[in-house]
Amino acid sequence: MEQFANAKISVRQFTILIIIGVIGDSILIMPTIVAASSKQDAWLSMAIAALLGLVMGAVFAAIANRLRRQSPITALQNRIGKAAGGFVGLLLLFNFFMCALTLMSEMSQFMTTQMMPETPVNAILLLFMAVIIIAYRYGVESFARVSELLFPVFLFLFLFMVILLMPQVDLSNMKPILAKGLPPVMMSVMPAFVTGFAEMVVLLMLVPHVAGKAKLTKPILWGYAIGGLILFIVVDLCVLVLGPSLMETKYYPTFVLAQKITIGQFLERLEVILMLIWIITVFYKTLLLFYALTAGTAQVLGLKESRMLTIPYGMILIVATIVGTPNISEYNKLLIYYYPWFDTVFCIGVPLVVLAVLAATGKGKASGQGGHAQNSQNGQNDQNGTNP
Amino acid sequence: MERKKSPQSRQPDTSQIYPEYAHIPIRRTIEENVEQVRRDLGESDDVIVREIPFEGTETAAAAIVYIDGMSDSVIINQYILDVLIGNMRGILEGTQDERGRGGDQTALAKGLLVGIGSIRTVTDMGSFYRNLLSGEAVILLEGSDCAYSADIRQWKSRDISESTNQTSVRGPRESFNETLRTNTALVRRKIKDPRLRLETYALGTVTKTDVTMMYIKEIAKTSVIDTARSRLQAIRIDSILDSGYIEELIEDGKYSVFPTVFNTELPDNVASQLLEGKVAILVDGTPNVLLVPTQFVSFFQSTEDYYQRSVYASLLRMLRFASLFISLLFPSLYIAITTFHREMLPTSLLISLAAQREGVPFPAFVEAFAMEVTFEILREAGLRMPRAIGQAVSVVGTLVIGQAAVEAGIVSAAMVIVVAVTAISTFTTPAYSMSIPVRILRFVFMMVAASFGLFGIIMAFFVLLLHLCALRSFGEPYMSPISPLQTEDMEDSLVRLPRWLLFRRPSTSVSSGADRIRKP
Amino acid sequence: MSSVFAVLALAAAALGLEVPGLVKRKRKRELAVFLILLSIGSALYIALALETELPNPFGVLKLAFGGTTG
Repeated sequence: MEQFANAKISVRQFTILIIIGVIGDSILIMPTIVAASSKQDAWLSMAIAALLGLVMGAVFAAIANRLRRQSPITALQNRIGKAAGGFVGLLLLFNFFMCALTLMSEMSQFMTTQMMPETPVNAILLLFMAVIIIAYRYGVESFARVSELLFPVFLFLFLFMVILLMPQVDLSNMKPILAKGLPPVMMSVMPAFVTGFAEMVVLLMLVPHVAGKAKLTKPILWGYAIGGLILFIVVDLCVLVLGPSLMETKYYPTFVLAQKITIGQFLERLEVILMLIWIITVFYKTLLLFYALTAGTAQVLGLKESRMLTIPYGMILIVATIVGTPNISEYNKLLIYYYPWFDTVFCIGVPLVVLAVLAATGKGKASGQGGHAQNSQNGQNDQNGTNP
Repeated sequence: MERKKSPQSRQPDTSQIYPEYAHIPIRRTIEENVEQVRRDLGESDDVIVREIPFEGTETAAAAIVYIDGMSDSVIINQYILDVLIGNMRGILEGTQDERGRGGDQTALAKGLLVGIGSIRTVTDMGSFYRNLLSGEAVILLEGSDCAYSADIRQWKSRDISESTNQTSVRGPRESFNETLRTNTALVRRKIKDPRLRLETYALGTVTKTDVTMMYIKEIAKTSVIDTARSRLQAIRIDSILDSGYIEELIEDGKYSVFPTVFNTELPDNVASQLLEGKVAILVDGTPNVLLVPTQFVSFFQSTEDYYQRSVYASLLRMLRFASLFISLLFPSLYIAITTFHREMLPTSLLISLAAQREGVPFPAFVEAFAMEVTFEILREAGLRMPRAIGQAVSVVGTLVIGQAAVEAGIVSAAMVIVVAVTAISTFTTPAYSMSIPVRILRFVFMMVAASFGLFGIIMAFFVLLLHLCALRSFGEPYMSPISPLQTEDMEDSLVRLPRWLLFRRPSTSVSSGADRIRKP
Repeated sequence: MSSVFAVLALAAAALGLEVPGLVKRKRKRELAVFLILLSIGSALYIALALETELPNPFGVLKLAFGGTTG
């Protein structure tokens, strides 16, 4: 879009967005997912997942570095033709759409079950979506800046929570370590890994806006590392404070965790802290997905503007969310058993294809300026080169 | 059109200001000129024409035209007339020269110049009126096709006194008055650097108000100076009666409730901001001076912060930001918690609140809304009342009405407290222009809180942050140095570090990151 | 029924917000895509409001990956 084409976010803002995105909805649902099979070894699953996450980050960084500040969709369109590139783009868009659905589902479920049960889910979704649309319309620069602003607040709240929970940590909750051996632990790793780390493939859509020409390896890896660390701490706390059984039976262990914080008189008030934290993270991840979806659609279709797609997409997403989440247990089952496969295909498989294509065609472009055109459409595509 | 640059103020292209008159030349006979003046200015009785006749005749040799009340009649009577009468011969001879510009007329001009110091040659009625209506005295000579305008402007204006709106405990009390030249001088007195520059424009097609831009040449960014200049020159409006008009016409955030232009009445405030690379805009006729570009944090800095000790100043700054939160969110939080999230309150407080709200017929939102509106009414009324009664009304209003309302059971005591605390925190903002958006947004937040509780407040807050982060003031981001984060500039935003640490100029305003304090 | 009107109002607002700008800037393609998406969105929303049975988007997942349970 013309108005966004020049929007630049700093490398630091990029990193912060990644951190917040990695934490995303995981802060709410991760403990349940991870504890599903590994129980008291959940912390171990999380650690392994985080390490795998770093690997994934490296893969994304490799892609990002080859993009030369173009969006993956545009880059592909340039290199393998509009049709093929567009097709891969559609796959990515499909992923973003579904992922956004999951986030909005989780958000609405949490709100309607825990915080505001009297409010109709329609209203909550409408409000949430409205703010996302507004955030999009204010532009990348703007919401990147807000993230930079909110990040210290977020960290402060998080540390606050952690410190207040320390007294309730019971190390014996970790035992018996590896009671059933490694397999159950490994089974939990996959869902944890894909939900937090692979889903952040969406960060590639932000690449066109990152300032400068430097390689993006460091920001991406740092983002994954810090995000992973925070998630690890969260899961640890859940295990150590709540014990494995609690982690499984409650839907939102982190919420229960927050409820357990006490300072003298002010008992219940502190779950508000968690609410603030996760609203920030869930909002941002959803925003990034929405951004990717909307901007990506414009890229696939070769449109010059994407702003007008916000409201229609908003409507579709809301309807899909409401239809897609009839009740919580259904959704949870879906999330733990089916969705990770979806993620694997779309968040790992497709990006790997993208990487392969970029690697294969990259050299051609670098050496011979267009003379080595793979496809006769390459020449015209260059005009769309920097479409965000 | 020959125009001598006077040392005092460079006047802009007059043909632009007085297009209807610029094409009329100065005629050779005084009679024709005076007729022209009477035609164009009507019979206004403050337009004085004093004719000096040739010795012994009735025809005028010279005439002085001036506006009573705007020109220094003492100088006219004691000096100009003397010079003119004394040079009568030269004038007589001068009129015999066909071109009307004899050597003796130059002598006349020079003679006057010595005493007055600012003489301009005027060759068309456009410039004539420009000078006349600004308060200068214009001298017509019989037979000459040019006139001479003497800058002897003098009028009564308000003394330089303390500002009533911006008080300071420690620091200079002088504030601007309504005369442009006095104000520019007040600023000059603070900054005696040759790099301090002024550019004056006449804005407002009917009022032709003088507007001066001031900046320090190597400290302000050229892009900012150019933007300010071009925006000022692009203004096409009837009248400029106050800097507020200009503010609205040049600001970036036209649709935002937040001010993107700073205003102040204190010269030291202007001076310190000029040193940070800002551009000041002074408007004749108002003590309010504008400063661009501006940041959000500027509205929470008061000049006193820099005169008091840094620890105290830092604490005050943080207090101000805390008050900002309170004044914006306190009523909404109250509404949200009492409506949606009662479980968040400690039990004892909850019981007490519940007991208070027992007899109250209205939901929390209506209560809050009514109280806030009442308060706004009282505040506005207090402002407009004659000083004598103003205080009494506010006290009566708040105490009595509030008390009565509680006792009647219409509002709960807690609500009165909330509203009162909110109101008082609003006043901690040093800059009045920032309290306005806060007051407006408070209502928005209340409505959101009533519908969506805490979730709504958080979402609305996001939108607010997004808006603030998207705002720009003359090309600079509104929310710097907080975002985009520039740690070097943070030293003076949320806190005020001691002076010996504040050694760099803010990077947003300056063309180079020059040092303020040279290390010894 | 009122919710149907609400949806229509929302769609109308979207039209009013976007169409003038798009027309002025002569973005025919963008306008077309916008209208198509808006119609889909509105249709879906109205269907939802009328409580019709809409397919669950996650159903696709179940079909594709239904055989494999973690």
